[in-house]
Amino acid sequence: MRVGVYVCHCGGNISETVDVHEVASFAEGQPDVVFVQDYSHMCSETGQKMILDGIRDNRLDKVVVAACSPQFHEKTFMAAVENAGLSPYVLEIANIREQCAWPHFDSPDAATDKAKDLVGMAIAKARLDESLAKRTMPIGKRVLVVGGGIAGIQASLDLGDAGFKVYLVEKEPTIGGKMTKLSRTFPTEDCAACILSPKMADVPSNPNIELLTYTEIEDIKGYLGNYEVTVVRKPTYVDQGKCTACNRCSEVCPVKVPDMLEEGLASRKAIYLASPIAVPHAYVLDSQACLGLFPLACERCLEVCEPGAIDYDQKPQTLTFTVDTIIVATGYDIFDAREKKVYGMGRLKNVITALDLERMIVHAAEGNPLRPMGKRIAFIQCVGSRDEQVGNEHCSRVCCMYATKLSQLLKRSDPKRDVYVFYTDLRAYGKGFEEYYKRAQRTGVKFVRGRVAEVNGDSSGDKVTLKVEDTLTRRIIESEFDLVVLSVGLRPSRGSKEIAGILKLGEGADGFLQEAHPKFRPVDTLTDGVFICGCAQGPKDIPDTVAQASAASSRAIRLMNRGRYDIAPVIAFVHEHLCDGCGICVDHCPAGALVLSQTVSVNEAVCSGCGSCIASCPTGALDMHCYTNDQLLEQIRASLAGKREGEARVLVFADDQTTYRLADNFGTGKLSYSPDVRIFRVPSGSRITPRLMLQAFELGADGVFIGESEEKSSPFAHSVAAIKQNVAAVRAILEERNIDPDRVRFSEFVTVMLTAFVNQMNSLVEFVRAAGPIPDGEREMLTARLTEQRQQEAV
Amino acid sequence: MYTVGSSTSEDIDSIGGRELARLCYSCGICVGGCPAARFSDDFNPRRIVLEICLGIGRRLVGGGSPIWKCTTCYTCHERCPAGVKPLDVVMALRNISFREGACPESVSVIRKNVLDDGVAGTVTRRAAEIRQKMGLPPAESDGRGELEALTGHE
Repeated sequence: MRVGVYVCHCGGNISETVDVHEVASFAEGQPDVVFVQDYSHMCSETGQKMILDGIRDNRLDKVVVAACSPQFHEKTFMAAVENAGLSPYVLEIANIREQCAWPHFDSPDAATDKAKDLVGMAIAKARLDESLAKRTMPIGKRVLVVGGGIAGIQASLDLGDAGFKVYLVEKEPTIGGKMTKLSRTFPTEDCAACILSPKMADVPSNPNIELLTYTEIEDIKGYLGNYEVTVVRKPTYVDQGKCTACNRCSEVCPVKVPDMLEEGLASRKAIYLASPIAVPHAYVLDSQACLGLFPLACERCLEVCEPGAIDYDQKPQTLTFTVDTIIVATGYDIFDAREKKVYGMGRLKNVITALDLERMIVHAAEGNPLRPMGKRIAFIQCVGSRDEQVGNEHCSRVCCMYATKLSQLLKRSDPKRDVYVFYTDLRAYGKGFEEYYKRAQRTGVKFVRGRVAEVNGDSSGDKVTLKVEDTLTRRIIESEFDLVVLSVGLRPSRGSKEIAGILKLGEGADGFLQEAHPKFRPVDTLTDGVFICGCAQGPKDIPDTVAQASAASSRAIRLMNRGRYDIAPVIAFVHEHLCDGCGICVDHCPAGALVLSQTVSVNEAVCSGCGSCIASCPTGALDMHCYTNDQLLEQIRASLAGKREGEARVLVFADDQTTYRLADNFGTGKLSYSPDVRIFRVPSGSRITPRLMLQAFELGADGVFIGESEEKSSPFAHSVAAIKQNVAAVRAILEERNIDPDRVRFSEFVTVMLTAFVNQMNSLVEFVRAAGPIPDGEREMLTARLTEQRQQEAV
Repeated sequence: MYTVGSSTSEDIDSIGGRELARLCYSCGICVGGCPAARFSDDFNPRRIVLEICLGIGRRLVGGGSPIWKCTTCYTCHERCPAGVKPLDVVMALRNISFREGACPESVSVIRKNVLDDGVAGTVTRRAAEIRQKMGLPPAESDGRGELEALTGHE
């Protein structure tokens, strides 16, 4: 083995605090190190060439660069190592800038000592680095789009046009979603159906889109590049290919039921067309409403159907297919206004929802508004939004503007009407929204700032009375109206809940599906290859929905277009000779990556690299590439090599995503903390097993701190729970030995908790200093105790 | 004109319900359904919460304060969409006022009644007549024994 070490001065950033020459000569004395060089800027082209030449001239097979944080130049140095013909994974970085020179600028001697330890740790790890190859997996060009509203339609069309195979699954008999119900769209007042129907028609005519309406997702298994989807097509009892939508069946059908397209304000027949602009444009027989199919009770539709499209023998059809990525566009449900009892929905006939009014306005244009509208009309805003009483803290974002739209449509169609909007705050945040609000004011709509307290009806039920404070004039209004319109908010849809359950997608506090990162990954989820868009992710209007749908399809294309995708080699592997096939680890894997036959094996495409399984293995058979048990143990040994008599030393295991960054950022701010800590970069705190923690104590550590991304933002499901379990196991053993269990600590962080992180680190250092070092005798045999316990448990 | 926070007193700063008061977004739902506000322009729970939140509520302490008009019906608690408890603020203000020796006549009467007889209200002649007409026994006008038993104080 031949290790080369490069020490960077960083143009003084490092060398003004750390004695880089002392560090270099320390490196020369380390085992297997055959070449050491220091230079002012290792990241420069010259510096990179030094690495390339150094490897060739000295036949190096492992490389350590002591420089800035890996977040800056790890990729640069990996490329240099790869160019020299080595595996990029034989490179180790010692972070002697952000985590040494900068935070310890005020104590250069301690900084130099720490830098030597950090280099020693990197060498120890590098010596055990495996020559791993970059991993790639094949991926095809097939996408499942769940939900056929405007979000799903847009995503499907984008993907289909780009040449990707799309399965668009919609549970209703037609695509189009909620937008098919709307009268006009704010703020431009386009006719919603007129702009939507051409887009709907484009779906079946796109040769790459397979449209599956009246279809439910039964199950989805698998992973990026290999999702197996099972769906069930419900019978429509009408051959969609033969139906000409002539309406004769509907004319003769004797059954009338409420038409939910019209929000129940009109009725339809048992055999019906789901919408005038339905796609596919074919009738559907509602078997629940029909007089009877088994046995047949009526058959009138069959008798009149000229093309012979009626087929009473249709059965539910189960289909399975495989896709590479998935886009979830399951939309929203409107808030059920009956939950807000003080507003009288369902009890007072002249209280309706805004969606009812959308349908009334659509029909009013044709002369039949479905029900009387009246002259005095009041809108109540924030019904089911910004309301803890009904468990919806969120703002639904669209209600202010749809009320602004509906109110002025009413006023303009009959200027003699009195139209009032009672609002809490009027949020006109979008492009053209404020202007549109002004237009409503000009039209004569009256906006009153106050949340309506109650709605009461008179005995005839014709008049309804509102009670509300006009908060700006501080007067209480008690006033009669002919019609009260509830501006109902948006809720996560039932469909979203179902798909979240199937795909194990996260939900935010508001119940909407959670994106992977609120700023930079707004349509990704934490499940690889699954994307979200539209109102499934949160309330939003049509343009935002369409933008997100295009974003989601573009993110999906990004993964699929190359035909292959990279996966990090940081994944679990099994020492087969140690595995006894007990299967305990299988249940501990949050990703479902472990498969048990004789022994356990790892599905490398699924493993997320959290390390949770490793701690669960009673025989030590599980391990992880790039962070093996042996590597971590040797790193721990090296981190304690420079420990002086009487010194108290704390090891910090910092997850790469958050805690390690916190330490970097603290250093960048030149804010100092105790130089007695040694920070380890790990993929997740859950990688540090109880055994490793106990080994750290055996080898001389006085305190162990584990930092992990807060559960919500962690890329690893359940890592926090796993760490808690590991820490508890270690604490119990320390306690048995009369070692204060508080020497092991764990905390969750988000990336803004700079001071919290450093305070906790410092407090552990102070605690350990006050408690004094652990006497050598008590350090012994800690891991033996763990083994003993594990054996007992196994029995 | 006022300066924000200029007229706070320690009492008001630390009164119950103030933490929650910060969550108020002044929607007015408490006022719209308030029976006291309906008949009295100067009683406005939304304004009271806001003034306490801003630290300008000193005017609300005292015998002439509108806080005494609250009927304690709790409708505001029941309806508030932000989880604010306006009545907690009102009760806290009442307690501060009372400690400062300021309350309306009607309240001092109740206090006196309780201390003297152990009951909040006295039995009026009219009430006694109605009871008699309905065949009920005369109302107990001395509650001191019961009060002692409940509180453990003489």
